[in-house]
Amino acid sequence: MADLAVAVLIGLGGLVIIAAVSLFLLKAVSGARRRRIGARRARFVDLVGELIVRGDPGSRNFRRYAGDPEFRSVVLEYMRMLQGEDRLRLLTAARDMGLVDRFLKALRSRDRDERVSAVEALGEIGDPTTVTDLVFMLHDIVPEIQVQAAAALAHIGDPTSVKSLLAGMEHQDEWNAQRIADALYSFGREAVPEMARYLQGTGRYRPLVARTLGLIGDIRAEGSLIQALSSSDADLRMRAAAALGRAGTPRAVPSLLELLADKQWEVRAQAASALGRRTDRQAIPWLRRALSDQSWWVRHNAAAALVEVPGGSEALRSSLGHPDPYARDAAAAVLLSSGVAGEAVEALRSTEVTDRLAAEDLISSLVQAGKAEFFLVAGLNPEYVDALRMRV
Amino acid sequence: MNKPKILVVDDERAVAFLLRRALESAGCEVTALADGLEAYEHALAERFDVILIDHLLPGLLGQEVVQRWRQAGLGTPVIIVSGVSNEEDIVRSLESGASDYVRKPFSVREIIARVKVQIRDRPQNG
Repeated sequence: MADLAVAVLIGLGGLVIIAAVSLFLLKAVSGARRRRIGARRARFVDLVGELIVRGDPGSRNFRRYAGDPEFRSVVLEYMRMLQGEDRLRLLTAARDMGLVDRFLKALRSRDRDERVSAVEALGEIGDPTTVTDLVFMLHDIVPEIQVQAAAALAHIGDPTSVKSLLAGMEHQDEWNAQRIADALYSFGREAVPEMARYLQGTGRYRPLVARTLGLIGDIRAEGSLIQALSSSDADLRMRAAAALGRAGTPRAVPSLLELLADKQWEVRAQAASALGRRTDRQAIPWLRRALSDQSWWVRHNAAAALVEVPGGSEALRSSLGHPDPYARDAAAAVLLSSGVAGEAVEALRSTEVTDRLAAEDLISSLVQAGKAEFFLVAGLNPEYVDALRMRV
Repeated sequence: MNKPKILVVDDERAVAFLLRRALESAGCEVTALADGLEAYEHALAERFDVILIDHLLPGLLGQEVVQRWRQAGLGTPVIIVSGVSNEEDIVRSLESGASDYVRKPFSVREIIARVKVQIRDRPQNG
């Protein structure tokens, strides 16, 4: 029995020793490997850095390294770091070294990860000659690669690829379509004509494109956006209205005014906001009417828009006497939140009698509209506030 | 005439190498370091004409190093080279005592030009 126990112990001890030795060897091997890679990388950093500084056309000599992932990673690191002539020089060198060709070849790989890395790398290299190949990747079976290709194309910024990006959007889910829209946004003004054309078609993601056009803010899209306001798609009408708020001209105002009567409250609310951004006086009576809309959002947006339009604040103040209590409430809420009421409290200390009287009138109307609490918090005497409540 | 002495502080080997070689080609004598704390002590012990320093460094941030140099009375022009390029960061860097700020990605020619400006504009008795 004792012999058996000793044998087991020796066996276990042996196993522990074998495990420890294996672990040590494994660590030593992986450490040596890391050091080798580190040394190789350091050598490539020096080689490529030297090439950039010297502007050496002899980069063809580096072709032998083009297959080394460390070398490729170093070139991309320098690409990310540089701009201007240095970057162009490195781009030419990357072509001469055969790096671009290698990444283009990897786009056809069966391995998904290889294709992802190649698309990413081509995006970072930003070689305009690779646009056609990247457009082709918009049809890859992996949606992630399609989106990556869109980002790469945006980085290169060749406007001829915008049409393909818009077409590539069609079969994406909403998440990926949004990412392609982000890529379109990166193109900026260059993408506007093609995006405006897309808006006139029947594309699935016209609302997203309308939104992106608003973010880019180029008035060349105005005609298409105005046309989109009469679409049967409520989401598109809403996005187009918002875009015209950001990027429209007075030309858009009549169409936005009509939209205040849209059957969808979301569209009416967006139209009201957009009119506030357009700051056109002709919108005042329309926005005042919208204060009685059945939707809280529309009433609130119309009131907020009135503050933005020159002369609109007066209309908002007079709306405190509106027969509709909902309109009065919307006007009062925005007069408080926009700072107008706060200014009135300050104006009570004015040396000008007319300013003090005007301020008192406004505060009285707001107190009667149920907003006494605001003025009490602002430090007005409760008895004074009570007196304003009773004032006729 | 003595070569201008430049201290380059960046923990990214590629950036440090490129700046060092480019400045050497432009006729400067360059010392390259990778750590903020080491750079702080080195610049106090040895005279440099211009210092180029990365913002995100191990040890101390570029801004902190510049602030400490200024507190210690070091007047050497310092250019912060940084990938962090929001307005807040640029303002804070300049307020910490940096003379200039260059965003990554950068142009090597532009950096050399900025270094030359600092050398040219530096008071001779400074």
